[in-house]
Amino acid sequence: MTQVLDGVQRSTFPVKLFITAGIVFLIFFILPFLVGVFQTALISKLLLFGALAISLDLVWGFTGILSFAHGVFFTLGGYAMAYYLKLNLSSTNNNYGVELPDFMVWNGLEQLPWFIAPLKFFPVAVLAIVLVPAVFAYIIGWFIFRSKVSGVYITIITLAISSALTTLFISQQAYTGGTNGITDVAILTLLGIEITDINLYWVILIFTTLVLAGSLWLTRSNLGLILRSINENERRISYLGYDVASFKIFIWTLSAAIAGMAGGLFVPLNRFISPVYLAVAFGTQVVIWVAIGGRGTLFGPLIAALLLGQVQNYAERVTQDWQLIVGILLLVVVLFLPKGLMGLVPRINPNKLLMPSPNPSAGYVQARLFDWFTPLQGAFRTAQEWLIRGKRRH
Amino acid sequence: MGKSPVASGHVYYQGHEITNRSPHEVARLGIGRKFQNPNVYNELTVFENILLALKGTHGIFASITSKLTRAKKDKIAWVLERIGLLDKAFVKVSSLSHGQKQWVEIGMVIAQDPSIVLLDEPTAGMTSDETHLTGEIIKTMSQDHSVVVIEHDMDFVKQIAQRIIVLHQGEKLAEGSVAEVQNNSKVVEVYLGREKIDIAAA
Repeated sequence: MTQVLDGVQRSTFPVKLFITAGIVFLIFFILPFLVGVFQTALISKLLLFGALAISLDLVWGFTGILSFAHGVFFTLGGYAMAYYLKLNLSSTNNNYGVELPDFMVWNGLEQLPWFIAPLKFFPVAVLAIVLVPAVFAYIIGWFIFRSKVSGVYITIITLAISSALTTLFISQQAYTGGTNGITDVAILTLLGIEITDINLYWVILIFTTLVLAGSLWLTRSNLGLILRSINENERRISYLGYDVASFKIFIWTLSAAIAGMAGGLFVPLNRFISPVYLAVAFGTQVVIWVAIGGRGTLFGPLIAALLLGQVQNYAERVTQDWQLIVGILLLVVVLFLPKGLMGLVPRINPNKLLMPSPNPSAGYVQARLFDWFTPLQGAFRTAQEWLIRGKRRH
Repeated sequence: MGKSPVASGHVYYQGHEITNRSPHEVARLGIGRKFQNPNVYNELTVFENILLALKGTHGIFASITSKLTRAKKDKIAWVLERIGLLDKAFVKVSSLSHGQKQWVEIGMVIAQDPSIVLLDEPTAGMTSDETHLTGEIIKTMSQDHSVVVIEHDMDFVKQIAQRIIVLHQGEKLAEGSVAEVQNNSKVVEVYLGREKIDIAAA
């Protein structure tokens, strides 16, 4: 009898994923040679936003915790990197010819604050980029999830965190550069190589690929199953012996660490960081990427971040009100595609892949994520259905 | 024990005080529970529901590294066979009938391999055929586990019960076999003609 379950494997994960990933990676590898410097920088930025969206998908899409604070984690990592780059400006490049960053001079600081000084060293900066957002998230998470705050209240707390930190960073001008943030930072140099333009693109491409692959691996393990169960009914899973709070704190902290790393890579590209990225508006944008891309799909939020960035880029040339276009897109998705863009390609949803069964007698068709013709089939079928429906109406 | 705070008194289990302990701690001590309404994961397959419930480590790291071993598959197949849903292993639970969902949850409790099983009206909302099948599942289960069932369907109680405790307004009214309880004058007096009889059968 147990043979019925023999078909259960952890899916055909390695081979097909690696081929698919290889092809996509190759496209992104060739891309900078085909497009200009501007597009390379834009795609670099959007890949980072994609990684940020994936990090939110882990907590929102899988675990059901809607957070507007992911921009905050991103920006905390960003500030850590910005301090590092600012403190490593050679004195000649600095406006005032002194070691102290310009905004500190303006605000009458005589000496580098003790908590910022260690960021001059690269290993400390790298640690800070990961640990500052992670520890911050861990502390918030510990209080929120251990105290059994749930649902919409968590979301309200994340909104409050975002607003409070925005205000804090603006008010502490001497330490943070205020509204302007930290500008005119040095170019990131690693092992004597200047990490700009194309080099930065490679670093970011590898980073986002690792984030996507890592998240896929993580969510396809039993952990993914547990996270989705917490999302659906957290009480039931606690009766099975799982400590729900510790799982939530874990994924929340991990997600913040990923967001922080994305923020850390954003600063060498953007050349500045400011409280704009702490604000609720930016946090909302991350939520929109996940919503449009499709919750719990990992690929979706990444694709949505890339697409919406391009939409914004072209819309900005036509009209100042690009947000209107993004807003309309959001409405269309919410109304017609409740599962987001990934809902258009039903079989590509990695959720369904967790336990594929090749056993047709079980009445279940195997989800074939990495058969590249299925997305086309899916799109074709959707188009067909639309046409048929349209005809019936007339 | 986790769902509602304890108003007064203490609950002990195998020498451990479990009054007001959190649900996951109670579960790890070997108490499997099922409440009246089916509490299953509709978005997951039957297989995944049982997999989640399997006895074992419940840590974060373990959940990431755990592999779907032969032993686990066999265990899941064994559980599915008991609840009669082996052919539905890869069906999403949302597409099952109400009765089948109840069985999935009973399967989850079996998979937990608890030393004591608490079932609250496991046949609520079932057809009479389904109720009978559920009774057979519970009878098999009671060979390996101590099973406590709260039920007021007398036919069902007759089918499964070895020992019955009759409760009335929170107090123990009578205890014994089916025949003993049915002939108990106090039980007849209190419950005759009334709608609801709470019976704990062990």
